[in-house]
Amino acid sequence: MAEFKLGRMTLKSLFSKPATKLYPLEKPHFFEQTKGRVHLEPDSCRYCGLCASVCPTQALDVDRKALTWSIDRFRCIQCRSCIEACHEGALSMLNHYTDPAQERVVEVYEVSPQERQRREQAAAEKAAKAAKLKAEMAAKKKAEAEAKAAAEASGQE
Amino acid sequence: MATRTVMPFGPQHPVLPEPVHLDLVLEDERVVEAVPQVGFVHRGLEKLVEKRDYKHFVHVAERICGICSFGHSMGYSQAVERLMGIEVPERGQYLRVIWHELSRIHSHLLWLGLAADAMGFESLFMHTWRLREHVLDIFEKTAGGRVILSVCTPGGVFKDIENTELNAICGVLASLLEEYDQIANTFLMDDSVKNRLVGVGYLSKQDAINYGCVGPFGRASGIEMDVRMAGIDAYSKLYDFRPVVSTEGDCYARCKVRIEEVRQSIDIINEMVGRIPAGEVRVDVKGNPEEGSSAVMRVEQPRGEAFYYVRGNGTKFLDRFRVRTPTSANIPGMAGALAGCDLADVPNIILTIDPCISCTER
Amino acid sequence: MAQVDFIETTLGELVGAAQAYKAKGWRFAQCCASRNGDDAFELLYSFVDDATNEVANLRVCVSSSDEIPSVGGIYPVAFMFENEMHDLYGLTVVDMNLDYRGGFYHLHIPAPMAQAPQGKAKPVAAAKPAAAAE
Repeated sequence: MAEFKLGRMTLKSLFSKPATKLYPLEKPHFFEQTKGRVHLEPDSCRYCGLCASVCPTQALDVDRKALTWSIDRFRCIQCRSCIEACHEGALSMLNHYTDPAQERVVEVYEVSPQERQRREQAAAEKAAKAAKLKAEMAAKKKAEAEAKAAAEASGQE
Repeated sequence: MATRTVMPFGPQHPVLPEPVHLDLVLEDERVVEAVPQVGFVHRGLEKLVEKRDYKHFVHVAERICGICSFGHSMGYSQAVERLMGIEVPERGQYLRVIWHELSRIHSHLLWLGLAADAMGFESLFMHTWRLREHVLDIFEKTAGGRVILSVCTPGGVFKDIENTELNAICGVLASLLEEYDQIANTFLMDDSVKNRLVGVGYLSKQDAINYGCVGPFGRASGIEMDVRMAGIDAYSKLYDFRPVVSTEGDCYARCKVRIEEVRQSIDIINEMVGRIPAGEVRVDVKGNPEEGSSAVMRVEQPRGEAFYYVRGNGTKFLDRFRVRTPTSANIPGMAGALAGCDLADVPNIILTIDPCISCTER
Repeated sequence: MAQVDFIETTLGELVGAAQAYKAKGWRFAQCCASRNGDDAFELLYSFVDDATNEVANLRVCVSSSDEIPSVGGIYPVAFMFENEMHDLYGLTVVDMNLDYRGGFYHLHIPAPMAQAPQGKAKPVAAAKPAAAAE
């Protein structure tokens, strides 16, 4: 009878732990760089929509007015194009996968209420400042035009 | 008086990793002729190139096949680089070779497991795939994905591997080699395995040349050809590269060639890690391929030579992307090797070409 | 890098050129078709010399009414690619060594790759807001 060539390995596996994991009872081990899911910091995001335009599968949708960012989890292929494209650094890759689900998962990230208030306030201040500057410029022009008209009138006399 | 019957084989069969159909013309239990039929997983990926930006298409190209995924992304990226005249930094080239050789190791370990399973040697199949997990862990640690790596892109690679990590990879491969020697010994020396493989599915060198066989299937019949000898990109920096060739031309020889190629790949990785230069790994690619430009690229994938042809038309969509995968060149050779064999050996012979039908049909 | 050549040729010279490459010991790599415009196609036949790693590509311009001679008699592997050319582009190849008569790929529409490129297709994102709001 021929010698059993796999004997040493078989004997070793009799006395060692199983190589398989009892998933889902045991959670899988992820590494630092594992591509799991894309995560947004809503308060750092400019809501410019650049990430949505570079996404190869059109998984992202950005609403600039309403300040929301949504991702279709099962369309995302974890290619990191959005993370590379973001200028603000608001996007990052987490290392655990999206859990399995029975229907499409669309997650919407919204800016926090404090940040929304702060941005609206900042936008209102900016608009008020611009309006004030415009009014000053208009008044200045009007004064200049009146002075010029008065100078002409006195010059004619 | 021998009677002829036609027996269908596949597309559903426990031994096939992917669906292929064969009509076997049998005389009693001996196969006289085999007519292959493919087309069960045609996805029209070559038409999709017209709808995807050429920089995004690399993500489609690497999903042509799960086993040779990095080979396709590398072949596509290199073809686009030839098309647009882009020079990839050296460190990026070396990293591509390291990932590609790791991809070859994992693919051959997968094939060895399937071959053992086809013979019914389940425990050998399990041990081989257990070793393969070490390579998949390396992929996940360095690139982020186990099967689809998404690191290669026209212009270089997205991620860098630090030198400490590279040395750790060499350590993992060295410890893998000890257990791998036992598995290789079982494949090559065990009597029951040899009874199933030796003398089965013989293809002579002249027949293999006529059929145009590529990859380990052709090298086992004595054809000395390997695209890595052409020295494309970082492969030209290897000190001495000789393809692994065998002259016996049967299933045992094909098994032996693949086993040796794993060892050769580990040597290549060690050499690359020892000599990798510092520097950038990617250059930015701006603009579109010129109108009327075309380029051809060949890559030695685990299954053989993959041939890429791209054509640009001035827009961000490529005009044409053509992949000729090694399995489509090997299928006629497989049909030739099947002539004259026993019906019980048919699954073994089909597996020895390492069929990757999803690559063949795109 | 090894030499890669693109050579223009005609349908009539195709079989002769293939025979010449066979006599020199070159291997047949692939043949494919590309769409140049409505009813204008360009065939590419590639041959590789394994000794020197040279690649020679023959380019032939054809239309859908042309009858393309098969090189399957010289290189048996050609049937895989010629059947694919017939199924995807609707081109006629005569005297194939193994002819599937249109049954190589099971396609939903005939000659899909002979149709015009869809590069200007509207992105799917336009329909997304309704789905996200649900």
